[in-house]
Amino acid sequence: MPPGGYGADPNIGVIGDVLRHLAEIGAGRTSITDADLANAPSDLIRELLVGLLTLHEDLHYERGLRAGAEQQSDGLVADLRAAVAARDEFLSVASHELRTPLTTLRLVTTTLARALAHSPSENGSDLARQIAVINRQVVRLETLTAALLDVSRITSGRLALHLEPVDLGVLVHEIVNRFRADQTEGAPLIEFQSDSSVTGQWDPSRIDQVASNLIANAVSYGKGAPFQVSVHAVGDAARLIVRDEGIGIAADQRLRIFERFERAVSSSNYSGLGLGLWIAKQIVDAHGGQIEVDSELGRGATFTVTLPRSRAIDGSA
Amino acid sequence: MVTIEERPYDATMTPEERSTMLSRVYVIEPGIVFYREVPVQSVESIDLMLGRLYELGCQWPTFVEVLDLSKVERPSPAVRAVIRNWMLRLAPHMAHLCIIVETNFVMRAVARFVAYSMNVTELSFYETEAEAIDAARRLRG
Amino acid sequence: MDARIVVIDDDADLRKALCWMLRLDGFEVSEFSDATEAISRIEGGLPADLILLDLMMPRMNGWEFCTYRAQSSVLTKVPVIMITARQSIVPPTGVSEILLKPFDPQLLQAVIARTLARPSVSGQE
Repeated sequence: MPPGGYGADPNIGVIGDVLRHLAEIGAGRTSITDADLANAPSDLIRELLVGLLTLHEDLHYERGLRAGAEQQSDGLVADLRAAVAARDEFLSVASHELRTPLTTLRLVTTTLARALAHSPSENGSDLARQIAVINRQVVRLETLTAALLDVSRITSGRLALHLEPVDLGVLVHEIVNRFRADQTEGAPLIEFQSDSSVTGQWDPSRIDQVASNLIANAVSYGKGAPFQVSVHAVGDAARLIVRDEGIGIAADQRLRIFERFERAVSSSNYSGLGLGLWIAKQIVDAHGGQIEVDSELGRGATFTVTLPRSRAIDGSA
Repeated sequence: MVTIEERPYDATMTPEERSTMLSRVYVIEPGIVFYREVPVQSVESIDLMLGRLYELGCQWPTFVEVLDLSKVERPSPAVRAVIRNWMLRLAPHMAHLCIIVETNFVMRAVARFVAYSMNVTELSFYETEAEAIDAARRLRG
Repeated sequence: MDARIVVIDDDADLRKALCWMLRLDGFEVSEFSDATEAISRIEGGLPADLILLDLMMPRMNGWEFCTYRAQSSVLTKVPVIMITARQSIVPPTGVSEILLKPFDPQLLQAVIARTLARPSVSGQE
């Protein structure tokens, strides 16, 4: 402590003022004016005041820039959210609106086909084939529409599962038979095998969707070779396995194929929206299960769906 | 030539105003570039004039700048930010900065503060243009 | 005697498509674009064994029709099959079956067949 106490130190006043100014600046304001600068008693004090005022201004400027950037990014996030909501809304509305025209088309082609069958004419078989083509396209449109609606429902969190006691072996067997019934000459042989009483609480129409998608993929990408579908009870879980000897999937694609609109094949060779596996994964996840693929390019693929048999599912689906 | 008024000039400045501003930056002698700052700086005026300073000064390995701040008002944070960026590019080429402040003590304080914040320590202050140019000749070496 | 079906749908193309198919199946079909007109004709004596009803219609929609039907002694005798694109709806009172668009035409035929085969009791759902 200097002699005479702090009161004798001529710098105390200045330091006290500087501390006060720093406190103000920290609080986002300042009382220093340009007049203070012009009228400063000494160069040193002037420079101190300039430094403090500049500091305050720079802080404000940066804060302004940051707030502007944050506002912009907040704005961008809001825009993005709105765009996603609009897109999902559109998907929902579009796929909804498609349903009536598709219904009409189906009814008319069915009627045409039957009318033709009743009254055969010269071009009868040609017309019948053409009507069959129209009908198939309509069914394809229906499938795509349903897929689009599923996507929009799933992404907006509206996928609701209706759980019931289901025998997975029986369910998948029916699906396999459905595919077999639709098959034409040269279609791949579908081998089916199942443990008995592989039961659990699942949504049958949704599980149907998953199994159908996997089987349809095996038909499309299986190179026409026979493939195996099997259902097993594995402790507290049920397992569905679809194994084909087809084109296989490259290592770097194995995770990506479950993403929306992702396809491991070129769209010039294989058509489709690339939604099936994504929807399948959402459904399996919603049941508390897993879906995995084991595959190598050129060596076929094995899809395994594991579902818990007892009810321990997130209620949020 | 038009008169540069005491107001900031932005991107709407006319070609005449532009060339008048540029004429305020010129070579006195080899290695010494004079820069008479406008009364109210703007981001556009700084970009224009410091750009010219850079062109002229880089003709030599290093140069001395004589900077007239005697009629200048305190620059805004945005302007200071641009000056800071230019200084980073200029500093390696600038041997010394001779600043004419006359009695503009506020600008002396600001110039010192801004220069130090950019690690530019080779600077000195003068009350007259003649003194500054003299010093520049000596410092150029 | 062939069963008589009444089709009520404001979408002309869909209504026609339904009528064509049902006539080919051997039914006698009456069609209306407007539910109020159908009501006055059926209550006025038009014979009907089954009503195919669209849900979303402008003047009187499917729900409103069913509400009216519930208190009409003539209409409650006629079973109603509802056709709609909307999935999770509260079924209107008195509807026998709901078909979701797009449906397989064969499914429609199956539903019609089993509804007609059911013994009809007034007021039964």
